[in-house]
Amino acid sequence: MISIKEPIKRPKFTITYQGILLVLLIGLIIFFAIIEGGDILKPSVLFGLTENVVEIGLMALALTFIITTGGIDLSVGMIMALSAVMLGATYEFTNNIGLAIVVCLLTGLICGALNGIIIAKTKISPLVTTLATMSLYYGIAKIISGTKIFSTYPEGFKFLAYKRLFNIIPYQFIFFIIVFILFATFFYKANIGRYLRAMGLNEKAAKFMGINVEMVKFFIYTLSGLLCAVAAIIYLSRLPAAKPDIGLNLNLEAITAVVLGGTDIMGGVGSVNGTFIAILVLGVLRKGMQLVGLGGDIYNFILGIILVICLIGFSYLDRSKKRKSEG
Amino acid sequence: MMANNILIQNKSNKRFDFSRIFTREMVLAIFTFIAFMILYSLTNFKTEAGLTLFLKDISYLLIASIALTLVILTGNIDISSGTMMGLCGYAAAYTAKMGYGFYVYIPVAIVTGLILGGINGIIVTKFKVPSLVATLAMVNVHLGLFILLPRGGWVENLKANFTFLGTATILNFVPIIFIISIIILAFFLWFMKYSRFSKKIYATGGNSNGAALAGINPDKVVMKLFLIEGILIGISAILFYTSKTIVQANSTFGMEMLFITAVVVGGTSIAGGKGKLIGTAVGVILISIINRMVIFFGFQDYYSYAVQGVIILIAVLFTVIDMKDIKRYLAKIFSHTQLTDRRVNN
Repeated sequence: MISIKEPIKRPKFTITYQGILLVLLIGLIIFFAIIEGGDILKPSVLFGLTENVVEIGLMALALTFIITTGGIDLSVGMIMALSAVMLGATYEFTNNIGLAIVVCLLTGLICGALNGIIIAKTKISPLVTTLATMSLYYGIAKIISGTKIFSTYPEGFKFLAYKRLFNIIPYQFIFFIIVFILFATFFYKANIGRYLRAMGLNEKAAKFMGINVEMVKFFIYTLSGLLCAVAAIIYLSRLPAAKPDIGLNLNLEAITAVVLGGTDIMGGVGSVNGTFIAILVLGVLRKGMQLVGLGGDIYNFILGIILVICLIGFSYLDRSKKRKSEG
Repeated sequence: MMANNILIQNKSNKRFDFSRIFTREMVLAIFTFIAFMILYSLTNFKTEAGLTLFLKDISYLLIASIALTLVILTGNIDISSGTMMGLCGYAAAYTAKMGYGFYVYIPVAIVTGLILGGINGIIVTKFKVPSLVATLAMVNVHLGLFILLPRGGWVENLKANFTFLGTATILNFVPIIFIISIIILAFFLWFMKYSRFSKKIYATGGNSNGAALAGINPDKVVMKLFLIEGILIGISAILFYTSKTIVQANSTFGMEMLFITAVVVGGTSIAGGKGKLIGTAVGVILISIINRMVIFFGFQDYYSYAVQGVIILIAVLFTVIDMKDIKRYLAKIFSHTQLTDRRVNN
């Protein structure tokens, strides 16, 4: 049995999956430092690693909540693409960046809320629903943009991507840390975290316990949509080109990050901390391979292999834990 | 419970059982027929070239969707089927480029599919990794493999020894690959109706633990189905790529969503244990008709993405609303009229 509330007395030192992941992260950094000659250990480079994972990180944090309840959201990449296209189109027509950002956030919110309403109110499975809305949002984004790529934005818009605190830490990473701390507090300290895990373990039991299951579902999917819109803003401030194709492979990558972090895809066991470390692992891997001079597709290959190994290891850890608890 | 409904069929012979005719598949077929008639009467679809293209589209989609139906019936899913198809097609095209005939490259594609399906199956059954993430990881592996392949996953200038299969037609408009796919569909329809193994599939999908207690090894069933899926994806790759002179391994990435759409629209439950193969076949035809329609009516092809999304939702809502209520309502009307008829006669 997995206890929902963690025991008060903990053993002094236990090997957790997240611990192994942290060792893997440090190992990767050292590995690339040896291969590449210590360049990666400079603070500006080390924090630069985080620049291209913040979008996926935001999506993965929301996905951690969703996957912990046993659901899934395949439409995250397309919500981001649609929000980005809406932002670009609104700026193109009105020349008002504030309005454009509001429209972008609203788009994400509405897309997420649509997912949430369908999943909470009808009994359609999250996989099918988000599969359908994924192609729906992709289609809408394509209809809006046509063959156009919206690529003109004001100078101040690039603030998030290129400005750094003390010229070291990117502001987008600071934003990501704040969001992470909020999520971790919700997940580990507040009631909602316990609700999520209870729903993932046994939804009917959670309902009889008095949890408003439909409301929680609606909330997390809407939250996911909103964070995708935020990710769209950060993406556009880094790479000012809004087109529908930017969201094509992102859902796979975000789910990879969540699963790598030790969240059980069947629900019930989740780890926001794990997701955070996994995001950093992905960032180090991608940047390190760029430094070594390998292209983006080899990154996919190695990512896939690492994911398979982690899944197998995770299932073994899980099995041995079950064996222990069974006696 | 769901498996029981299918295994133990209600054999009561009423005078006219309305609910037996008014099945989901029938409704879907009627919709498809209406869509087909609209397309046929309003557009230049009736030309032989248009019909040939349409049948070609259906044939590879049909085989791949049958493959995914079998996997989804056990409650698993395969997201890597699109990229798998690309690798199978590449392997076949590479052998064809070396000068071998179809008796070599078709087995090569099938064996490639068998190996890739086997890898998926082993990860899912031996290591107990949920199929969704296992195949998701394999998508990344396949995408990386495309780049490691010689010539970056491209094979160009394929000669007639590869393309004759895709271009050959009977009666000037029925492609041979369509006939192949119909034969395979017929075999699997027979297989799902009469073989003992098909009952094991439904039992595993409906309740895996219950199936294990009934003496079925669920892991073995799932493993076998992943292997069958690999074979079918290999065949599907042959049907898809032989009508082209260039084989680009990553061109099928994302196609798995199309297959899953067809399966879901056909009425197969993503949770497993519920669904029919004939539904998938009708779903495939409906989806290809709608894709055609979108193009014929002068929209850009990207409208079809939005339309597809809406169609999945409507089709699945149909299952959720529960056909039983509609059936009961209609049956009530029907029985009422019969009663009144009898009174008049008396």
